[in-house]
Amino acid sequence: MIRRLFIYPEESWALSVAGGLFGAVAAALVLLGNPASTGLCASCFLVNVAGSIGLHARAAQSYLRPELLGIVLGAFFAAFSTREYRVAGGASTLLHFVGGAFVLLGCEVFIGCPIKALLRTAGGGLAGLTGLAGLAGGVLLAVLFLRDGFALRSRRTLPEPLGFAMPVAAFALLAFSVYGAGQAQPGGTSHAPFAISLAAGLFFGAAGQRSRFCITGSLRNAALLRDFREGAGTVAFLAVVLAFNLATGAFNPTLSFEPGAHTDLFWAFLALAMVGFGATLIAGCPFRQLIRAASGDLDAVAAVAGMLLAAGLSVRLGIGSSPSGVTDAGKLAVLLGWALFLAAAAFKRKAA
Amino acid sequence: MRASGRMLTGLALLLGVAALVAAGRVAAVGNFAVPVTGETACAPEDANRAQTLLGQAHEAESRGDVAGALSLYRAAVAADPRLADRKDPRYLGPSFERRLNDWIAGLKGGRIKEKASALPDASYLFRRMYGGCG
Repeated sequence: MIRRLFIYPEESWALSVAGGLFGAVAAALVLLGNPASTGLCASCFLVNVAGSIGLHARAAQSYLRPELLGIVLGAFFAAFSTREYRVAGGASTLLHFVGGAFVLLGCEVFIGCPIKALLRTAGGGLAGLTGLAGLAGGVLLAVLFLRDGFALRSRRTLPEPLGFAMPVAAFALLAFSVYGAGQAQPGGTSHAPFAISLAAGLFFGAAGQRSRFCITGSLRNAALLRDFREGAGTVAFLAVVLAFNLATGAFNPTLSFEPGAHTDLFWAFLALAMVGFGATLIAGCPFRQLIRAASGDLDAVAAVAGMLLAAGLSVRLGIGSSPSGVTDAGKLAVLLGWALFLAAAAFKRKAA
Repeated sequence: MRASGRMLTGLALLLGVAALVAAGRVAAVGNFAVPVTGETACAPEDANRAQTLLGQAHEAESRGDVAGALSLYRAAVAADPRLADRKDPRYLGPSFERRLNDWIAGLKGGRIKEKASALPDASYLFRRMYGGCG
């Protein structure tokens, strides 16, 4: 039972339990101090970490998020201890890097990654729901290209020490933050207590590695393979957070009063549709890329590097949206992201 | 490649070109000035302007002009976003939060008139104060 639930969760019920636990922990982090709907948001956490290491200078978004460091370390330990840690790369590394950057920029235009889209929807946000619809549309469009032979180059095995880069970097940054240098600055981000955030991150990482929790992945598998097991985890996540919000009075169906959101539904849809399309082509949303990178996938390391760089640029160049609305730089980033991914989809297909 | 494959390639190219054309249009007519406001700190002139606007908002509020006050608070927060940041010493404060929530309830319930102009300002301040990525 324990083995089927925690070590090799492959059945719908086990993945539902994992998804439900993800939702419960994410909701608890908001209750303990994280911003609204940001109990688990890989793109927001990347923006916070980018600020803390000097890639941008907005104090209100700078914090060496222990959740993110925990995700990397938790996934690494889970992969290593179950012998799933395999170092490989070379599957269109440049596309992973550039694609990862555009996926992150799309998230910043929407204000949140696909997981945050679920959290925002569970809070009653209409823009969150619109983004979620866009995400599903983008994934379904990408599935057409996958069915027609879209494929990245084959990965090849690489020397094992190369894969330690991510976990070692996460560990070093964690040590750095434990000694105070990376703690939130005055006027910095809202956050839950450090130790709790770290424990939650370790859980997200380990459970995410074992259960393969991924919103875009669950949609892709449902559409491409008619495999709804991961979808059960996604639905359980949504259900638990929705129940939590209803119980605590945090559920408020609204467009104009959605915390931290903008009200431009067209760009919310288009941005997350680009994220869904692109993330399906490069095999994972920001959260999934973190997990893969920690498990030895060097293409995912390239994607994470691209996302981190884009997180800094998003703030520096005014690409990310705010409650004031979507910026022209943000619109340009979404359109260029679409052009990039559509070109990749058109030309990286094997003749069927 | 099958016919469906050629159609998909055509679709991707068509959408890709459309995205590039739209991107070109945005690049040509868009405003790409990176706002100083919201970066490391806001520019001193913006911070001063925000303080002036805040003073005017207090005056409007004391006159009972809720719509005018909300418009001025919105302009002040747009000039210096730190005013809406709960962790910042310049934050408008819990008493403002209470008043804002009271105004929102009044606008929604019809107790306060001028709903059409004031509600967007109130919702902007609400969205700005809660949530986000940080």
